[in-house]
Amino acid sequence: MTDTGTDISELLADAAQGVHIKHAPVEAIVAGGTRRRTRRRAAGAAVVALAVACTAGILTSVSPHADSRTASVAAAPDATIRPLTQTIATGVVDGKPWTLSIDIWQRAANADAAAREWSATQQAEYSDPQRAGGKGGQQLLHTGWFFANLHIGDGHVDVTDDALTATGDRGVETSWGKFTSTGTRWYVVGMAGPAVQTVTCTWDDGHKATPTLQTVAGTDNRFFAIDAPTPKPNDGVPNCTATG
Amino acid sequence: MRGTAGAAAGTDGNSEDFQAFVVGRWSRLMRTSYLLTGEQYAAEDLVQACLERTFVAWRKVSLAQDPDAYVRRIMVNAHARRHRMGIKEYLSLSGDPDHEHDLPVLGDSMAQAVERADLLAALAQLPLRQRQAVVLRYWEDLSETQAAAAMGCSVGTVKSNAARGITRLRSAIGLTRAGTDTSLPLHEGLRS
Repeated sequence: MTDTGTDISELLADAAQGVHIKHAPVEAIVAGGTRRRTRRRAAGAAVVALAVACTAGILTSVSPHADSRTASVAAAPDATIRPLTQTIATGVVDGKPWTLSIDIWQRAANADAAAREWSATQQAEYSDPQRAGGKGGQQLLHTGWFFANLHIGDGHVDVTDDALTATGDRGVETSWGKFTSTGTRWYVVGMAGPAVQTVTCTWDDGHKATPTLQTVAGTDNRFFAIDAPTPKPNDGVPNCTATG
Repeated sequence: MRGTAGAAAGTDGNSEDFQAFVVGRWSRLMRTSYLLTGEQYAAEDLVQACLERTFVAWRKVSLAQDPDAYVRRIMVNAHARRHRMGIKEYLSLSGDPDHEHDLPVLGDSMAQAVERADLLAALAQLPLRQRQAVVLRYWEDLSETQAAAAMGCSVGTVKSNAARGITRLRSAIGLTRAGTDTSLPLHEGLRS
């Protein structure tokens, strides 16, 4: 017999009535959310310090795969685990400067390092940090993870994130969106596998773009961004494929 | 790669949407949070933190097929994180005379208030995952699949945690599956 738990449901519903519902503190929530954004940007600035520390060989150890640019996180205090952040495109839209950057959370050297790195991602103010490497960071051990961030004016958007192995060696993955809610300009951000030499994006109207693939520290994948002046026709999407 | 196609990146234009979302969801989120944390102020704090995170990700949340599912996930994660960090959620019924949850509210009978307090105490004694599974399944009325998505675990884990949770709850507050016999001395044997 299935236990529907009706008795428990009724008790919980009654108990839930015991809380005092006040007015939603909308202004405080917006202010708190804005502060979180600001802290996150500050964390990005800490990458400079990370680069210095990396030079000293304190935080990272180069992967045993000597031919790879991929590094892995070695044992390090939690407080010092940060993503490698690199700006891949900048511009101005509607009078506001924008910057598109990539955070690379590197492949961890062992399970303990993966767990610590995952824990660090939980403090990094991402919108859905639980995804970063799967629960407990199991995938950080094998793949690493990236987050793409768009800063525009005073605003910030988590554009997309995924495992660094998501494309395979020869695949391309893209995400896109409008810079502003009222504007007409679009951006495209993408990740290409290590073996991809050229990417061509084709819109529904035949418009094409061949973005420059940029290397990013911490991964063999390469990233690209397009400031697309052409409005997307018929709600079409750019189709970005490896062409070389 | 998770797409966010068709979305506007700016935050200025969707502030009103977010505010409407907060106002519309506040009451429900507060009740869920109250059952998870067992305490008025902890519940408010959790919901506020959850909505602040939602604000940061509003563009993505507003485009999600089920924004409520997204927010639930944020809340469950935040609750688990606070639990791991050892933030005390449930405060002793007898420890602080200012606690509101063990006082009868307007129109309540004292017995009903005591019953509520007993249930909250019993909930607070459940292991975290059991508490979350019980609240999501039997208060939020989520399916096992939806609860699993919110908790970031398998359906089987939700099933087992929910089953163990309600068994312990019934045992703690003297319920049988036959129903809710409120003549039972629900408040006995709960306080150490």
